[in-house]
Amino acid sequence: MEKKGRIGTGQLYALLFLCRLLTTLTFSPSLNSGFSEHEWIVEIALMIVFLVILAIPQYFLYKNNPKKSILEQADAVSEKFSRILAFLYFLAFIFFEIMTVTRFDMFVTSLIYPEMNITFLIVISLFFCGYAAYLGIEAISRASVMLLAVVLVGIVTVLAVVSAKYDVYNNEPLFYYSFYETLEGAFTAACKTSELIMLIMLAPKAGGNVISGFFKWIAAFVLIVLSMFIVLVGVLGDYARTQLFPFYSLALVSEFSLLERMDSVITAIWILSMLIKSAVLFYLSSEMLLKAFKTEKKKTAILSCCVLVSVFTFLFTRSMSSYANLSMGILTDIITVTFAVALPIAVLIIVKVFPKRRKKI
Amino acid sequence: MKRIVSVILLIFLLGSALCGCSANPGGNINERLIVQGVGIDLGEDGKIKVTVQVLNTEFNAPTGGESGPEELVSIYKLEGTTISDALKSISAIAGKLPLYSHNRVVIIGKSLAESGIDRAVDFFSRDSSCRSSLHIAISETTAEEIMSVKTEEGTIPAKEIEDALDSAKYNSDTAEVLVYEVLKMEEEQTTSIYIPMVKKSKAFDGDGDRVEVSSTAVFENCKMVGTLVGNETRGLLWLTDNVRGGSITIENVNNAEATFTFYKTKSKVSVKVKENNKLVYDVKIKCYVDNAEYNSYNFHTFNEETAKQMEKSMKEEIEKYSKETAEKLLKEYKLDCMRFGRILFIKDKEVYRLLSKDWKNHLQEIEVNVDAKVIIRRVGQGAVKYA
Repeated sequence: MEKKGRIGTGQLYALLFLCRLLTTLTFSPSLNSGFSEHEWIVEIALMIVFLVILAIPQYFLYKNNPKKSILEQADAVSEKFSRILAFLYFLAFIFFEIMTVTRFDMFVTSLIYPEMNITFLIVISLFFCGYAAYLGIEAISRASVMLLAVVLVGIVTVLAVVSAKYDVYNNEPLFYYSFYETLEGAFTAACKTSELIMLIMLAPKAGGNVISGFFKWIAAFVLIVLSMFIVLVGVLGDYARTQLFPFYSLALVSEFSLLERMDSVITAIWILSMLIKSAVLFYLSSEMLLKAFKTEKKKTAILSCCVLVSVFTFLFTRSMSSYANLSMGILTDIITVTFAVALPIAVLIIVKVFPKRRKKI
Repeated sequence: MKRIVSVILLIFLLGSALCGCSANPGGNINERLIVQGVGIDLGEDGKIKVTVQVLNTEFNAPTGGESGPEELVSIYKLEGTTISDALKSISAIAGKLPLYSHNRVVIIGKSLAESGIDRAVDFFSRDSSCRSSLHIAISETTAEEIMSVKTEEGTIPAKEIEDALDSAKYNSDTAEVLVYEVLKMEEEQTTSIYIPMVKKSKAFDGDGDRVEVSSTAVFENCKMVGTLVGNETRGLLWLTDNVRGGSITIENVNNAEATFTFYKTKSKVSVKVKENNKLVYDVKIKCYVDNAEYNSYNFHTFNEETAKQMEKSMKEEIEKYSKETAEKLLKEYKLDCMRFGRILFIKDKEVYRLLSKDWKNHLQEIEVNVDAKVIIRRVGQGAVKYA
């Protein structure tokens, strides 16, 4: 039997795959400053390079001690440093949680029920996710494996149905617009992969070959995301740029034989992925909180996270301008680079320069 | 404790999925105004006049039941600065909230089309309750006239209009355009918009009216500037690879007339950039046809030689329509409804970069070659005299 709190590599990457798919489904060109208006397909293809580059520091960190997380490795040097680090990661996870929930709120109140106040639904969903987080990472990852199968079937069905409207002339030639902008867009797309930060904390919990799993995960999700964008651009063309959530608009125009209007499928996929991503972010943020404050009060930690996210969601979804400020591409870029690259490098250097300092003390 | 918490959360979560229509603003579906069609005209004072066709949910079939409204649909005429502004007053008049998700068609009056359709389409793409995959058409007169047609008893006029527009799938004489396609054409830098035109006419049995697709309106910068009539629409469909059904009739082959239905068609457009950036577009059309009718006193005359003659006649006819349409659009209207600019964009981005800024003035210099190949695939049940 596996140790408590440990998951398989397959489960880990299924979980991260589902979380990353949500980011793609909720892609909103008008709200993703940094992501260019054109050449999305090229940007997604180039994203793979940036993802690998962004993952290099954590590769060395993982290689340094595969069984210990970044916090445990920092703890070997200084407990205070480890606790500060835990608090910083708590803030990062809460930020991504707020991003996830506010975007869901924006989606529901812009496209599904514009006249309704869905605060109650959001709060209930958050507490449901909090409960899932309380059950632990094993429960969330087991659920994500099952849901991933459902989600993939749903996405493939939508793409298959809508691809009947594919028109090659809706595409754009490669590198017509500024190459720098395309590169910037690819970098932003990579930075939207908050799963890289989640991986830092979850990799030590996974058994099996995490490194080869990482490359398979990147290859698989870039492939599916690329397919989604190829169909999106080929079907909607320049119209996609004018839409708040282009993948939803794509599902709206889907029609093939008896199958039409697949927006309900996209909505269901969105909700399922949102629940899983929120649960795992709650799990991680509560873990960070426990470590930062050196306490065992798991329920209190999760509850605090739920309340915090509910309050900020309410604040950021009150107006379009506050939501736009939150979704600024540069903010996500800075956070991803800081937590996926800078802090792992810093910890790695400190661990190498001051090995086992705490033990000596 | 865990079990109790999970049960409570599940009840709330599942409960949220069990809500009925009454949770929506506006109440149950029978308490809503189910919009079937929207017509938009330009008012004399520059305002937007909206004619809305809604379903009478309390309508009873004439065979029995309690008495209800006599007509299956009701017409509301509204006015405002924008479409939403006009539509907001409908609930004050009818006492119900409109439901646009079942809307079938958007009809735009000719005068509004001439002043610019940009005022008329954004609502149907932006409003969350509307579908952007709606049929759109231009009225030869006013949208109000089309929306107010009295079709045969027991039919929904908007449904009849939708069917007429949808028939493009079977006849290849009319164009079928959806709202989001208009917005896509509008977004493309060099592409010109085209939308089918409809007119009111007398029903075949003389009792009531019907709506028929008459021609195709073409636009420059969202303003209607002309029409494609007769076979010109078919020519446009050939040039844009949009022939999906229909038939072609030829005369005087062995003193007989024959009609062929299109089985499979494909148009491929390629562009060559010649000296001084002169553009030559080659349109290659390939279509398989099945014989539906061959009116000759003697089936022996339908032989291999006759088949070749008929294939040649059809080829010439398709080439003629396509070329004439391309000439009219490029030379007369200076419009690119064929997406030639877009094709150049894919093929040679540097030439496109150079020419797209002044695309309209380059259109007249474009040379279009059409080469059609027609293959008779089947001859129906009738006998033929092939060697």
